[in-house]
Amino acid sequence: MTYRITFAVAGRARFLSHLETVDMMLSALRRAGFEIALSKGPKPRPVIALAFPRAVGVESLAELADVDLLGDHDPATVGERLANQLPMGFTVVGVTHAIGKPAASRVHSIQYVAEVADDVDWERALGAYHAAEQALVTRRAPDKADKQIDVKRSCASVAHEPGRLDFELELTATGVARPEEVVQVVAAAIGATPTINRLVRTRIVLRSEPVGVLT
Amino acid sequence: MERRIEAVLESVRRPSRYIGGEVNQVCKPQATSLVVLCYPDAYEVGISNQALQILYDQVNRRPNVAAERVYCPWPDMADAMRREGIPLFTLESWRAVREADLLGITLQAELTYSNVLEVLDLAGIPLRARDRTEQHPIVVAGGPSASNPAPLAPFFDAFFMGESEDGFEQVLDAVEAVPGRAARLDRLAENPFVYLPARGRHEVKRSIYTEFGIETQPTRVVVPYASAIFSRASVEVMRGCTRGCRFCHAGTWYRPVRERPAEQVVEAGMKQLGCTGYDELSLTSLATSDYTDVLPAIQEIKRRAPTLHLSLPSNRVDTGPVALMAAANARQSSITLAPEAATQRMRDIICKTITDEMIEGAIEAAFTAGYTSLKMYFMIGLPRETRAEVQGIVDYGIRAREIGRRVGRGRFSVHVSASNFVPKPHTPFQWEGMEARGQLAAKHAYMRRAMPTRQIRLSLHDLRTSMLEGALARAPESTADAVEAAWRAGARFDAWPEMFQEPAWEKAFASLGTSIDAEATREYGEWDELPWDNVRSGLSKEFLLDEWWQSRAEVATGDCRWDGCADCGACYGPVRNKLMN
Repeated sequence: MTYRITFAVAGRARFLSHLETVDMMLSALRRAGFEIALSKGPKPRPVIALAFPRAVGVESLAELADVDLLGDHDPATVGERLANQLPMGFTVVGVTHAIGKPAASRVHSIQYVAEVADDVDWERALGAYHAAEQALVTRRAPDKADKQIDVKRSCASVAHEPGRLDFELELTATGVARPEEVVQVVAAAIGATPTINRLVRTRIVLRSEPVGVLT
Repeated sequence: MERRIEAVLESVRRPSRYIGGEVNQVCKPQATSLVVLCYPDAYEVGISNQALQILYDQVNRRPNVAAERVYCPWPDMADAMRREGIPLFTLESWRAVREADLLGITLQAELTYSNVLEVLDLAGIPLRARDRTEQHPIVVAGGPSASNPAPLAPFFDAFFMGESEDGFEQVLDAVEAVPGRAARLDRLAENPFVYLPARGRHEVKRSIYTEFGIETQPTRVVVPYASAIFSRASVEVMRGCTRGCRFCHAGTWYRPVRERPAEQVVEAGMKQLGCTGYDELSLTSLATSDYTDVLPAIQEIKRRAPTLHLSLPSNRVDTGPVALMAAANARQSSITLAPEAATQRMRDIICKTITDEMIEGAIEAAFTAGYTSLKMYFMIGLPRETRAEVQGIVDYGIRAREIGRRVGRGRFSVHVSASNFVPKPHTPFQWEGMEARGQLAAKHAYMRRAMPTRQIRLSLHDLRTSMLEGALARAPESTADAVEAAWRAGARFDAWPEMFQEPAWEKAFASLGTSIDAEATREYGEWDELPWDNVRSGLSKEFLLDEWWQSRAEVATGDCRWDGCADCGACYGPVRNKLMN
């Protein structure tokens, strides 16, 4: 049976990587007394998938993990038992039976809040950002060639409230912008350098399942 | 300080190394004394160390003493900490390490010595013990490499020798009951297992855990984040080894053998699995297939947890142990055998009492059992090694491939690994020098040329780091200046090939009028005073000398478990071999 676990990541736990989060979730489930189903094949692995990797340093209010557990359990019980075994910084938001395709294959977009210092004229920056045709950032990585990303291609919306920017990033064929890149590129539209105090993923939006027809 | 640390973590690689908060960590804000335990390497290496988990549990059992952990920050983090003025902090409370009453640093390998100085410097503790004041913690070394305290003597206030379970309690008593650094050091001076270099070169004994009870086996071990090199539950089934391999430091340092009853091993393993959420259990020791109750333990564990991934490291090379490993763990596709030497002559020299028939039998049993990857560990540069021994390693790679083709089920690979022999203190080879770098390089080159590449992979240990390990393992006290000079020139994480800075070490040794190679290849005479002679391991020097002579005569000594007492001296101490019969 597949369960969809929605969980929050806060505080120091935000510094765990995607794979570390997966392992943390597996060991917490085992401590809670659940047996995790293994994949078929010569090297069986636990069947678990997080919907979309969270960048190191980004907090989250709603991470999604699909995991196959042996046996049939009440989702509320899974949530309760798991909550007692999660390390500091992780909180269970809810558990449901997962029906249909896994969340990881249905991610449409991800919503974020960036808490920012208001030493940038954000309204003017947003105006300049929206007026521009492109919003390019250069992504640098050690031992790799620089890569230019057009943030506007994946940023579906961005809005400013005092002390924060709210935005939504859509998955595109060419990838997805990073949340800090959105903040940087908006500020850069008026030549400013932003101060990001906190990045929080608020929601992972899934595409709705196609409705099946019984024949 | 928290905000500053968090700000720094935004910009470093693998920040999870520094955040703490793992499952089963212990926080004791009410404690009146703080003991900081340090593994001077990266988090993923240190968190996997079983000895430090035992010590963490041992210290935290005291209601008023808190044990907190620290590891050596990776250079990017260290740079950021220095830039921002952040002192080295513990994982549990993010408190400054220098606030501790005692800083215990485990010395598991010589190639962490430069990191010891990095840790002290980042903590804001003077490198040299003589420069410390009442404001500073007592810095104590422990672990197997402390068995030659000489090259690090000026940097430590004290060295604790041997196993912590009994003898370290007195050290903790001193920390808890005696106020002030000087008075505590006076108390430590009364402890026969503690060496205080500042008080002259005095004799020190190795502490031996006589009971070896299961209650000291931690069950609520700290569960590392995924990046750790070992993420599994482990129960130590046996301590010590009687095999008597003449190159093996652990084989002499941890004598005599003490075994735990199978039912206690099973209970401890099950409890640890429940507290950690691991899906793998390792039954650890220096030679798990020698553990008397190995079969009943495996059977009971498999009965209780049929799908559990059970691993048995460090096994004798023979068909029986291979079958045991296969039975214990059906999911594993690779198996490791360690013949160490490829010819009978050399196995007699090093006292590895296995035959060609046993090795070939083990290889055949492995492929028959369905393993698809076979790893074989050898050493080169052993005393009195000839071309035949090096050729023998190549031949074994080929022979293993032939056996695999004959009995294997489908695709397989053979992985031959050869490390460079490094003589260690307190072993029968402590008087031997390492082989010259040029000779070792020539042997490496020959093996690379001669070893076929189809279905065989050859890996050879880095010569540069092996030579440094050799230079430090049996070093005298004067080498401490080289350690400090190398650290000041940027040496860090020497065990990591990508981090190793040989020029820094070369210059450091040159400043003492010597070289890495000269120190590594140094031979001692049997009448020479050795730098570690003041450390009493429990084995007599006469036994070690006798074993050295036996190696020259190319004669192996029997295992005292089956072949009678070899009079090594270990059983004249507080406990004799304690086997489950």
